[in-house]
Amino acid sequence: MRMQRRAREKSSDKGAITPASAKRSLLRRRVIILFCSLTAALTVISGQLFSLQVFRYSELVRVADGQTSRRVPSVARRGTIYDRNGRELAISVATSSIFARPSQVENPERTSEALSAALQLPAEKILDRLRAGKSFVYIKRAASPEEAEAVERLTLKGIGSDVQSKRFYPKAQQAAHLLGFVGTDDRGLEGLELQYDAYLAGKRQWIMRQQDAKRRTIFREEAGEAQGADLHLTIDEVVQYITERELEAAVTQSGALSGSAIVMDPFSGEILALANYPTFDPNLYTEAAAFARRNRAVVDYYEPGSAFKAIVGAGALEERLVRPDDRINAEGGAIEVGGVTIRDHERFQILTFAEVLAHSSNVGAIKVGQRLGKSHYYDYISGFGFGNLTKIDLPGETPGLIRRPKEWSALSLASLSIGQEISVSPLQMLTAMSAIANGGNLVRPYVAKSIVAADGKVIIENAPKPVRRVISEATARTLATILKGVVTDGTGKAAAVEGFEVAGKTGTSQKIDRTTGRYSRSKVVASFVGFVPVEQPQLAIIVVIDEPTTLRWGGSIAAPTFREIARESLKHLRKSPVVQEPFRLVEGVRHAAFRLN
Amino acid sequence: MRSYSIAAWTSVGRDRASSLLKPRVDQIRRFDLLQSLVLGGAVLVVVLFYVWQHIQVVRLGYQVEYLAGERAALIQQQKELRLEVARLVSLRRVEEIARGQLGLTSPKSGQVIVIE
Repeated sequence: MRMQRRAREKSSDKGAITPASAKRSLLRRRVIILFCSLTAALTVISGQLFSLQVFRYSELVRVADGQTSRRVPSVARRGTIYDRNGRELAISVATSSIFARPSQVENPERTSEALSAALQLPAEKILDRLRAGKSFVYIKRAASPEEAEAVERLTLKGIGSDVQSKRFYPKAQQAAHLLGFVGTDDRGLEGLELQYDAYLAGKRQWIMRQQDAKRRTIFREEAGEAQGADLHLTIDEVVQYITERELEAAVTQSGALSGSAIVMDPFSGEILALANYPTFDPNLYTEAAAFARRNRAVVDYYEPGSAFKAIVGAGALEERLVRPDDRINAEGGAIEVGGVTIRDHERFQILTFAEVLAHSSNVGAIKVGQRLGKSHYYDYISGFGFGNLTKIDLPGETPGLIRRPKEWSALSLASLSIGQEISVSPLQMLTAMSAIANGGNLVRPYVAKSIVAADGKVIIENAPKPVRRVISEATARTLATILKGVVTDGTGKAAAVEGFEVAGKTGTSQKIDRTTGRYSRSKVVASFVGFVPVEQPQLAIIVVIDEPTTLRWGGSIAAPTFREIARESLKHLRKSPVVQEPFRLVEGVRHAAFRLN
Repeated sequence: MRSYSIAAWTSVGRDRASSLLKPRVDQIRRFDLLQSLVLGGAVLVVVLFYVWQHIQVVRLGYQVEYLAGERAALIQQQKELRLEVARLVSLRRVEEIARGQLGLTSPKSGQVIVIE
């Protein structure tokens, strides 16, 4: 073997080409070519890999993410609104919306037919929407989860669904003016929904979702805090219902244009109920007239009339210009001021100051106002908050209308003493009466008790906020006793509640006739504002009836409404009557009890 | 050193060297094979673990998504039920039933005793 190799080497040394060497040479060349080819191929592949991994890395990652990941909006659920006892007044529930991008829809006819079957909508209507020439149209909003699932299963090109939060008001028109409503984009448009929109609205976020080839979600990014905060109100659902029911009855019974009523805790300023009639259903707010949607108790003003005599009385008592038993000459029921004769509803002669308020004598009140004087009276009017916002946490509040003393005419002091030449909101009037009820402190009224985040953390907690002392406690107590006389002996007898002492003041003011610019003889605003019980006031209530046609006096329509609201509310709040009547069983029940024995 | 390397390049030197090295090379080869097998096995285990982990993550992802969907559905159902309850206990509705269907009336003031 070794010998043969040596021989081969010798022959090659001589330069002879044998078939074996030629074959080897060919093989070597082939190996070299193969090696070079592989090297070239590997170089190209490496280069390509390098290009893909380094130069086009970001672009390709984007493409890959686009295929496997999808940015979807998280469902931002609006916070719930509760009454003071935790009863839901507004709830948000997730609903689906079916939408279309008409430019991507391949066969509009077939698509509309398929959607029609899934959504129970007329195919023609869907087809019209698809052919409306818009880039994006909603096919159905507030669709049920089953309908959304049925549409997803159809896998129609250009058709999709989106989950959104929809607001529901389970009690329909109850507390409608307080709650307000939200628009289709889930943003607050009126009432508390608007006032606390920043807290109630959840934060809609875009989250990343990884999906497989069948578009099933594999991973989903945590949405974080998408749930809005809950709003807890000072409103008592039962008191609110009672107030609305009685107000509706009063407006209907008197054939009035509208009415407002507010119930408030006179010490804390918590609003327990606020109602307006006509009202509306916030679930269907688009169908309601603008007049029905107006929160007239807060945004509208009226001339308070005789109810304002309580304010002139407070000022005069505080300044010690008058005492309850001071005798005032009512001049037979007429007085001339600034060339105008102002009359009483009766021909009063001599009245004590307490009787002036009890019988609502205009002449007596004007004389008390004259004793007080322009400057002092204006100070008390401002002090009780008239002409300024009460700063209630509701949108659109009116400060009312009041002129400065230098703008007053010769008649103004007299007019203001009987509640004319001034416009106040029902809320302002009630806040002022609450100051008399609570011992002389003006308090800020409020509706939101607290705002609680989804994790239970209290964001805002409203507490009673005294604004200022307007009158002394002694004056307030004296005035309360005088106002009690309005109910026991005066114009507000119909406001008396069995078993409780009530204090208040009636008011019947003429409205300005827009055509003549003078006080109308037929159009009036009837009101009653008061509090109950007198000793330890629990409730301050105002009832304002606008343009009653049958029962036109504050004492005949607003006072009975006050009574019903107060009686039912006190019963609900478990307040014991001062004079406890013996318990009586009704006949049927007594017989039933005997039979049982 | 130099003479040794020349010897290694000659055929005699190569043969001698190979004959001297042969048992050691075999040993090394055996060792290499064992090491390679262990290493390969380890790499395979790591790769398999990686793949298994990946599959597990995806599987759990589906499971998490399914459970999240169920949770969302239950929350939704709870909200809807609360909404329904709130509708049903609406005082207007309750009063209509109480007065209209059951013939109930409000108690008079003397018929109510407040227990404090």
